Amino acid sequence: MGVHAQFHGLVIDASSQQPLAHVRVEIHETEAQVLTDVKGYFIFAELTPGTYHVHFFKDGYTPEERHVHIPAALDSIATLRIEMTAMHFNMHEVVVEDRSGKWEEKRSAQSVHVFSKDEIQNQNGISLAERLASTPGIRAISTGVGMAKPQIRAYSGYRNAVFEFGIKHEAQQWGSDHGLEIDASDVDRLEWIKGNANVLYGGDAEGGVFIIPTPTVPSKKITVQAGSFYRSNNQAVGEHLAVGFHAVNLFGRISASHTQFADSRLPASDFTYLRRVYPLVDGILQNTAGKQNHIALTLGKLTQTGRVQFNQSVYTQEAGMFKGIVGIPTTTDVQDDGSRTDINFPQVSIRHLKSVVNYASTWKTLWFEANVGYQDNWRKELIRPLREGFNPLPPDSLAHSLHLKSWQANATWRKNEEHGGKRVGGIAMERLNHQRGGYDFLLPNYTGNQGSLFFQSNVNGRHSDQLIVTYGMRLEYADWQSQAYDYPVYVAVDSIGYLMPRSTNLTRHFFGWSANYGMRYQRKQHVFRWNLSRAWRAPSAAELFINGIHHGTFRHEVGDSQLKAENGFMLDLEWSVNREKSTWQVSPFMHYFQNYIYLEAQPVFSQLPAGGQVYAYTHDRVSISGVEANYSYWFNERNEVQVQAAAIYTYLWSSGLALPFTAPASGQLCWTHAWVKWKNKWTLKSSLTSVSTASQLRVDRNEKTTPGSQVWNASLVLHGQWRGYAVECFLGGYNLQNRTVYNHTSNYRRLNLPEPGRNLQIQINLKF
Amino acid sequence: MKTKNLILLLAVAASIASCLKKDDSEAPLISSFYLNGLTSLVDTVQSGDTLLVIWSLTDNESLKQAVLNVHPADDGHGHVSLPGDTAQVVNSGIWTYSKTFDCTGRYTLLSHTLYVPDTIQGFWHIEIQAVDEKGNAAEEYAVELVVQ
Repeated sequence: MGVHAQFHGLVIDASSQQPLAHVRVEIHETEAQVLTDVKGYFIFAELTPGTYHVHFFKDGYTPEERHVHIPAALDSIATLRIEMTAMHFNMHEVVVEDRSGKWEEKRSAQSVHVFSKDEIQNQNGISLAERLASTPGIRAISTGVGMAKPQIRAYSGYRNAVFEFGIKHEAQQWGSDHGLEIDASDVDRLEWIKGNANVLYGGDAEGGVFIIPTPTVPSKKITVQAGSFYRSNNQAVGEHLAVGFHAVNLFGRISASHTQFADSRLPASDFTYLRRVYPLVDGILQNTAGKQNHIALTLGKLTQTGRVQFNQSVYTQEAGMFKGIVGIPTTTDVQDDGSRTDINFPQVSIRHLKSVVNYASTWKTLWFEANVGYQDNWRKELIRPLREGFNPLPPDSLAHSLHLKSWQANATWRKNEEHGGKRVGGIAMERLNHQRGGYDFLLPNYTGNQGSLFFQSNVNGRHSDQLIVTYGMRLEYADWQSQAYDYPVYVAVDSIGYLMPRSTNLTRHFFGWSANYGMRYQRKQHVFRWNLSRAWRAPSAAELFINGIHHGTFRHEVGDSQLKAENGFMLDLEWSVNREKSTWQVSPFMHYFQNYIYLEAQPVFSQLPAGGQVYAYTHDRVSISGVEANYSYWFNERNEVQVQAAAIYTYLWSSGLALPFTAPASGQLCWTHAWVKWKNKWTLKSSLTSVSTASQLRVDRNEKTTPGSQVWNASLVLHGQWRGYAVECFLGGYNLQNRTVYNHTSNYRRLNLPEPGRNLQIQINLKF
Repeated sequence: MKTKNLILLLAVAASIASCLKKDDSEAPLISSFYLNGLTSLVDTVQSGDTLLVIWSLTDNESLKQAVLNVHPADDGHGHVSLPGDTAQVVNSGIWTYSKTFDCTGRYTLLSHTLYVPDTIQGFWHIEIQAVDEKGNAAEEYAVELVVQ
């Protein structure tokens, strides 16, 4: 018979010393939650002895957290008295813990930025990456509207890991024109670890990591969230519904969403493809309409020692690709086809399946978590069959079928120490299998295996509790095996001259390590952080094996099967100050890579029909440095001013040029005003934001420079309670002056296409 | 003393900045183009004709490669400027051609003879592209052929 323990306590207001009701008390390890009663009491009746980390949340109060140790004695009881301090102003949530390592931002050398559901929803854009892109340090590398991937500082693709349900999101991230197959409307919370996170999250987290936590256990028996939005520029309409339940020890959540959008409208009259100029009729970007669907299911059970849960999600997207971005367009292709919602050739069809089982449990003084997952990502690019050179007419429209399957398993052990220190150890494994198809060739069939061991410690300084030291290391192994593929080269109509080897049978093995050492020091209102890390990343399959015309980037891309693993040193610093009426934060960084892998323009032309110039993956020494800054000032309870800025400098040592897609310096000034508070049930907030972007004149070879811009955005947000429902209405206007704005990190920049013009967004969300 | 320190700091920063090299990023130039001795952007030729193409390339450092290609233009696409009204017909017959030329030095004069198939009619483009040894790509040059 197991030893069971009880944990109860009292929560009071620090200034009035009166009990606080409805405080949400959450045990981090088990995700068990209770609310305090009217007398401020709470109780967890059935717990296993051990050390737990407990959070206390209440609107209008600074969140609190405590470590609670319940000794392994029969019927042991732990008690706690918490005083919570009222906040004068609505600050962003400051208590953060990432999932895999169960790390605490307050006790880590690395800072973590949390995006709440509101912060994600109330942003311009459809894709998740676009909605994060207003944060200093994050940009979106986009291909029109609806397809985008996040760029952290200068890092994108395989240098940013995205973890969802405890496993790494695996998709076709090698293409700068490929988006992230995650539905923004179903993300309740997102955590961003700034800076290198190799040690805890592997080589792909070189530039940072985004973590979408597993759905939390609903605090009530039934919870419902529903919402809908409309965007004027591309007539986008989206709906989502999520229902959660919690009955005894069982809990679950099912969510579904649907988004569809029409062709975008730009303030432009023509565009350029491979230096050929085409008209853009009425500014409509033909064939950029699309639709996406997402369904997710979570079922779980809370046990006496932890929880087990199963997550299943399916994401699908069908979207037209603007004729200029894929394939060679004709003038007829870019004429008005009479419909803004139809999806013609070229188009992309994506399906992403994800199945994950999470298990978490305490065992003596250890906390154990394991995640096992399977993902199936199938990307199909359909292009109208076109005879290129002497090649025969393709039999069907399937140009590329890229089918990636991945199996992952990871396990993490954590030991809490009495004075707040933590030690984490873990193991992670992954297998990848890619099968190609279609009449064109880009990537061969390949398989890959990855495995790693890691540990990280988080200890208090010897002489001061204000000093936290973080250090860790990861050993990593990866291998890739590619299959040979010979491509027929036609020298006359229906006459094959020779077979061109586009891929060979090859196996590569990589073994390396990453490590970090950093500190967090707090003195009064000042917090200083620094983290020095050694980054390591095995080349991706695309970097090794790709060999074909990548229509999305207008060039013949060639991998280098002899590439070495990428490694470098990264120093991330942060200084933040929290005063009663203001906060500010400065985050400079300096990174140096000995052999950074990137696509370099070659002095040769492709031998493939309409192949253009060859770009090959190569190594170079690279420096990446920059700074992000954020300042907020509250004049009073109703008025807040926020200033944000970010700048990046990239330097390729062999050429002195910049890395491609280096974002220009940018800044924004935002004034937020709370207009009314009616019976403490309704609040109306407005904001006016000026977004300025500097011109980008430091560019990679053959990359266009981009002029600077300034636009005004405005929004109104109404929050309130209606018949027991939490209601939020949002009205936003973007680029109110309808200015022509070029985005340096958009694939459309190469076509001289600006960003979509003025856009209005309306959104309504209900919750109970 | 503070001023001296500031001057020293600026001098060090200037020294570091001067050490940062900047590779050649200047694109080569297609400096002249002649089709059968003419420089017009639109030429009318007969199927079965022989065309002599001569063009020159210049670069600030060293040229590396040029490519001449012939592709159909009946889709109405243009080069440099928007297409005119003429290019909206359907070609008859297939004519596609591509040849790569290796180059060296800062200046080169290239020539090539094209044979217009005697079975075609419609609109084609002759397009010249070039890169230097660093991979900088020249603005292309193209002429439209009306094959009768």
